Amino acid sequence: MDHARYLGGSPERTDAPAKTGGALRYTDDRVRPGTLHAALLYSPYAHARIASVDLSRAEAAPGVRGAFSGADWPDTLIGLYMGDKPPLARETVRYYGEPVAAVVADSEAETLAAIRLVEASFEALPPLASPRDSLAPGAAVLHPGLGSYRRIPAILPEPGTNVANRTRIRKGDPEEAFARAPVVVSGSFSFPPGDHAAMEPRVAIAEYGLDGRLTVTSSTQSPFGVRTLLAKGLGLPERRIRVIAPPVGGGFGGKAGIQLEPLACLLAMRFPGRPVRLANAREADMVSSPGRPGLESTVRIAAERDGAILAMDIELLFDSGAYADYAVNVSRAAAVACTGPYKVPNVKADALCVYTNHPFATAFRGFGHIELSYATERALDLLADELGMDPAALREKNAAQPGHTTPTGAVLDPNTGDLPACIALVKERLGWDEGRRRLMPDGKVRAKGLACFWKAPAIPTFTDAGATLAFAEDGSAVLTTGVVEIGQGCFDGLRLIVAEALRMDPSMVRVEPEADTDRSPHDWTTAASRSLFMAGRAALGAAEDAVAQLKRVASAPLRCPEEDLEIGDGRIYLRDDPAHGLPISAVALGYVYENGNAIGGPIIGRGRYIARGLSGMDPESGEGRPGLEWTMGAEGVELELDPRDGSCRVLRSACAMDVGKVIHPALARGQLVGAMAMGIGYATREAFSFDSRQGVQNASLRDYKLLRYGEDPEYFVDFVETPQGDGPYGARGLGEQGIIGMPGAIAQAASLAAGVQLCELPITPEYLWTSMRKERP
Amino acid sequence: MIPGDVVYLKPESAEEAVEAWSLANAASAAAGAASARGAASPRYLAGGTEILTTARRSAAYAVGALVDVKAVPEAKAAGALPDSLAGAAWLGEAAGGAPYGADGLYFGAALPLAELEDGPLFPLLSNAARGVADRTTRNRLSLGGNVAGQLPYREAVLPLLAAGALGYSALPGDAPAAGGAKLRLVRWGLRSRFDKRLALLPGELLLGFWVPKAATEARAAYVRKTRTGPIDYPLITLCALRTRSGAAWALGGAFPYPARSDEADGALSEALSASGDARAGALGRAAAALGEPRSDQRAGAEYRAALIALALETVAEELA
Ligand SMILES: Cc1cc2nc3c(=O)[nH]c(=O)nc-3n(C[C@H](O)[C@H](O)[C@H](O)COP(=O)(O)OP(=O)(O)OC[C@H]3O[C@@H](n4cnc5c(N)ncnc54)[C@H](O)[C@@H]3O)c2cc1C
Repeated sequence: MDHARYLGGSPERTDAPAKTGGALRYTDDRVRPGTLHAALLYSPYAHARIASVDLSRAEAAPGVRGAFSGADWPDTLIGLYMGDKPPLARETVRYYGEPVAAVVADSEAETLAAIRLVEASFEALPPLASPRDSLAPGAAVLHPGLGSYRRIPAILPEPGTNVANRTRIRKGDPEEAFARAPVVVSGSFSFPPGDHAAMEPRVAIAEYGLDGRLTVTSSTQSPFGVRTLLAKGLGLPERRIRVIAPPVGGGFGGKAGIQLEPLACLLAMRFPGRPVRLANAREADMVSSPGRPGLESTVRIAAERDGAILAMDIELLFDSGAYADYAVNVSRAAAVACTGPYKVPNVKADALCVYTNHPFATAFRGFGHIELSYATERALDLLADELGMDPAALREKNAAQPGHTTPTGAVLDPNTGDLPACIALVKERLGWDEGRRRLMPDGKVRAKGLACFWKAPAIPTFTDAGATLAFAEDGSAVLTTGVVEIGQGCFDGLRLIVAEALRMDPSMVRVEPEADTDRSPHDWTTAASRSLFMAGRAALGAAEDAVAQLKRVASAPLRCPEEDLEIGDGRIYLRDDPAHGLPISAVALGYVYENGNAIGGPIIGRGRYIARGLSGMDPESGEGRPGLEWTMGAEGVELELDPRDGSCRVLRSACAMDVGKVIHPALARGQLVGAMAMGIGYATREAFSFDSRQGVQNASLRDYKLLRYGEDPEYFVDFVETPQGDGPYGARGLGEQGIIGMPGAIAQAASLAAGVQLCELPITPEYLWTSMRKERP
Repeated sequence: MIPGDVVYLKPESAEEAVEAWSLANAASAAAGAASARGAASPRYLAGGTEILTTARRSAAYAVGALVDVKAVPEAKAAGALPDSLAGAAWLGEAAGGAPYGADGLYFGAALPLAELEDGPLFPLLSNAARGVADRTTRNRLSLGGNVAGQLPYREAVLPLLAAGALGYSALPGDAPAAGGAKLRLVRWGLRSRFDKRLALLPGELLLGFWVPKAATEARAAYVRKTRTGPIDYPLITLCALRTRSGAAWALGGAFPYPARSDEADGALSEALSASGDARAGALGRAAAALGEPRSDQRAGAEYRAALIALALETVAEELA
C-alpha cells in the first residue's frame, strides 16, 4: 500500500454541528402524533412479595387506554443470554425500581397522573445485599426457576443457588506453584454497583402494525440483537420485527442489550396501529434499567523473589443484581482476561455472576475488565510492596508478549501490542523516575500510580459486520452499515477508511447515520470496541468490490483491460497515463455513450466480515480462543492528597495504548480522554449507595455525582502502533480500554499517598481519611 | 413533567401576590372540601427548581396554583431598602435586630443566586451563593427559594444568620373582604424567627433581607466541604463574620438544618482571643454547642465532626 492520504487526518465530525446545535433527532425526538404513552410503577422494595396490584382506579382515569400488571403476561420471560426476567414483576419483586405495573394513556400527562392511582401492596422480604450474602449457605434462592430458563450454552448457571454463571479457568498447575513459591500475597477487594449515566435516558417507541409487524424505534446499541431477542422473547419470527436505531446519546454498554423494548412491544401489541412510547425518566434510567455490576474479589499471587509471577488464584464475584442480563457474559469475559496483561503460567480462577437484590447489571464500558483489573492490579501492588519493588518495574517484568498464552491458553500472536513500550511512555509522561511520592510544603502529598490493561472483545465466535457502498450522481459514496452512532464517532473513522480505500476526499464520503434492521446490512452489536475493526473490514471489502465494478464498467469506454485502471481523486484512469480517464460520477450509476447507449447501472459494493478462528471455552478449564484481538496499554496518574481531611484530586493522567494504527487521531484521543475521565469518576465517586433495605439512596443526578468539566486533570495520550495484521489498515479496537486501568492506577497512587493499601471503591475523601486513621490512630 | 393542571399567576406587586395567594387558597380549600384527596394549597414560585423537581417525583407534593414572585418589585430589589418597605411593622414582639434607620443593604428574595454571586455588596453572601449547585442552576435558584426551601442545606441563609439580618415579608391582610388592608408589610429579626427553619405563616410572601452595613464589610470566613467534587450538596458549610464582640457563625450541611447559637458564637469569640490549648478548647466548645453532626449517605458523623473541627481552625485563623 502506498502512503496513506487520509488516515491520520482529523476532519471535523460530520455530526458535530447538529449535535452541538441541538438539532440532531434522537429517538425521543421522533414521537409521531397519535402516539400512546406508557408509564410504569416501580417497586419501592428491593425484595418483597407482591400482595396485590389494584389497577381499577388507574383504568378509570381520564385518557387511559389500559393498565397492566405482571399477570397480563404470565409466561413471558425476557433475557439476553438467559431468559430470566418477566416484563413486569410477577409474585415477587427482586430489586428496588423493578417495574410492577404499566399504564397506557393518550398523553404523557394522563399516563403519569394515572400511574399514581395504581395501588400496589407488598410484603417485604429480607434482601440479599452482596454476592457473598447470596452465596452464604441458606441464602434465599432468588430464581427458583434457574434450571429451566432458556439460555445460550456458554452460560453455566447453578440451579438451586444464586449463581447465574460460573466460568472456570484452570491453567497449568497453580497448586504446585503456590506450594513452592517463595512469595505469596493475597487481598480482597470490592465495590458496589453503579450506573452508566449516559446523557440520553432510554426510550423505546413500538408500533404493532395492522399488517402484524412490529416496528421499534429505540435508543439501542444493538438493533439486530434487539430483533433476535424480541423474536425469542415474544415468539415472533424475525421477519415480523423491525428495529430502528437513531443516533444514541451515550451508550457505554448500557444500551447494548435489550431494555425497554420488550415491554414497549407487549404494550403496543395491545393497541395495534398505535405507537406506544415507553421512556425512562432519569431516576428510572438509573435504577430500573440496568447499570453496571459491583464486585467482590479475592486474589492470591505466587511469585519469585525477583517479581516473576508464578501463579494467580482469582475469585471474582460479580454483583449482577436481580437479573442476569449481560452480567453473565461480563463474568465470563472477566475470566478470559482474569490475570491482566501478564505472563502467568499457572492460573486458577472462578468468575461468578451472582444474583442479589440490587438493580440488575448489564454491559459497561470495559465489560468486566475494570473489575478484574482493579482486583489484579491491587494484588500486584501488594506484591510490589512485599518485594519492595517499583510497581511499574513489576509490571514491566511480567508484561505479556507475543508467544505467551492467555488464561484460556490461547497463544498471543504476532499482532499483540507492545506493552513495555506503553509502560515506558506513561512513566515518561508522569516523570515516574523522579520519584513517586512527594511531600509538598503545604502539607499535602503528591503520589503517582501506574496500571496496565488488556482487553479483547467478548463476542460470539461468529460476530459479523456487513457493509454496502453506493454512489450518487456527483460521484460521492455512501456507506451503509449496521453500526449505531453512540457518540463514539465511529462513522468518521469508517469515512476515513472508505476515503482511503477509494483514494477519494473524505468530504465525498458519507456514512448512513441510522441503523435499521430492514435496510442495513447485518451487524452484531455496536459494542466491544469492535465497530471500527469489523465494520471497517466490511467497509474495506465494500470499497474493493465497488472499485472492481467501477473498473469493469469504465474499461469499456476507456477501451483498456480492467487491470490497467486506477482510482483516485474522484476519477478512474489509466495507471500509466493518468490524464486518460473518467470521473467516477460518469461511471458509478452507469456509463452513457454519446449516442445515448448505456452500460453498467448503479454500482453497489458489498463487504462483509466475520470473526476469525474463535472458539468456545472448555467448561472445566476455560481452554479455548474466545478473544479476537487484544488491545493493551498502560495508564497512570499523579494525584494530590490532603492528609488532614482526605480530599484528593487527580492532577495528571496519562494513557498509552497500542492501537495498531491510528485512523482518526482526534477521535481516538477523544475516546481515551473520555475513558480516563470516566475512570476517574468510577474510582472516586460513581457508585450506588444503599440503605439497610437495599433501596438505592442516590438514584438521581443530584446525588449521584460524575466528574465535571473543571475537575479534569491534565491528560496525556500516546499511541503505539504495532499493526493488527487483520485489522483495517492495521487498526484495532480502542473505544473502551482507556477506562480499565484507571481505578487501579488511582488506588495505587492514593494508597501510596495515604500510606495504607485501599481495597474498596469509590475512593472518597472520607474513605481515605478513615483508612489513614485506622492505620495510625 | 408534572402530571395534572397547574394554575400560574404572575402578579406585579406584593399586594397582588398576596391577594392572588389568598384567592387561590380559598378556591383550593373549596375544591379540597369536595374531594377526598384534600386541597393543594398554592405556592409562591421563584426559580421553581425545587417545586418542579419535587412535584415530578412525589405524588404527595401537590401543586395547585403557583404564584410567581419574580415580578414583585421588592423581591427583585438589591442595594437600598425599597421605599415601600420603610414603614414595615415589626412582626410580633420587636425582638432583637438592628434598629430601623441604621445603615444597611437589602437583598430581594427573588434575586437569583448567580446575581448574588457576582455582586460585590456582601462578599460572604456571594461566597455562600457561589457554593450552591452549578452556575447554570444558580441562574435560576433564588435567595428566597433557598431560604424557604425544604432541603436541609439552605446555604444562602448562613451568611444572613451570621450577620443578624432582618427579614421583610408581606402577609395577607386581616379582613380584605370587609374593606380592611389587603396586605401587611412586616419585618423581623431572622435569628429570632429561625429555629432550624424559617417558619413562614400561611400566605406569607418573603420579600427580602436587610443586612447591617457593618456586617457586610466585616472580615469574613467561608469553608465548604463536599463528599467529592465541588458541585454537590455540602457535608459542611461554615460562614463566619468578625463582630464587635468577637465572631458570629452559622453552620450548614452538618445537621438536617442550618444551625447557629449564641453559645456557639461566644465560644468562637473566645477562641479568637485565646491561643494554644485554650483556643483548641474554645473551638471544641464552639462545635459542641451546635450538637452532634449527622450521618447520611454522603458521610458519617465522625468525618463531618472532623471537617467541622478543621474548618473552625481555619476560620479562627482567618478572623483572628
Ligand atoms: C441542581 C441543584 C443543586 C442544588 N444544590 C444546592 C446546594 O448545594 N446547596 C443548597 O443550599 N441548595 C442547593 N439546591 C437547592 C436550592 O437552593 C433550593 O431547592 C431552592 O429552594 C431553589 O430555589 P428556587 O428559587 O428554585 O425555589 P422554588 O422551587 O421556586 O421554591 C422553593 C420553595 O420556596 C418557596 N418560596 C420561594 N420563594 C418564596 C418567597 N419569595 N416567599 C415565600 N416562599 C417562597 C416556594 O413556595 C417553595 O416552597 C440545589 C438545587 C438544585 C436544583
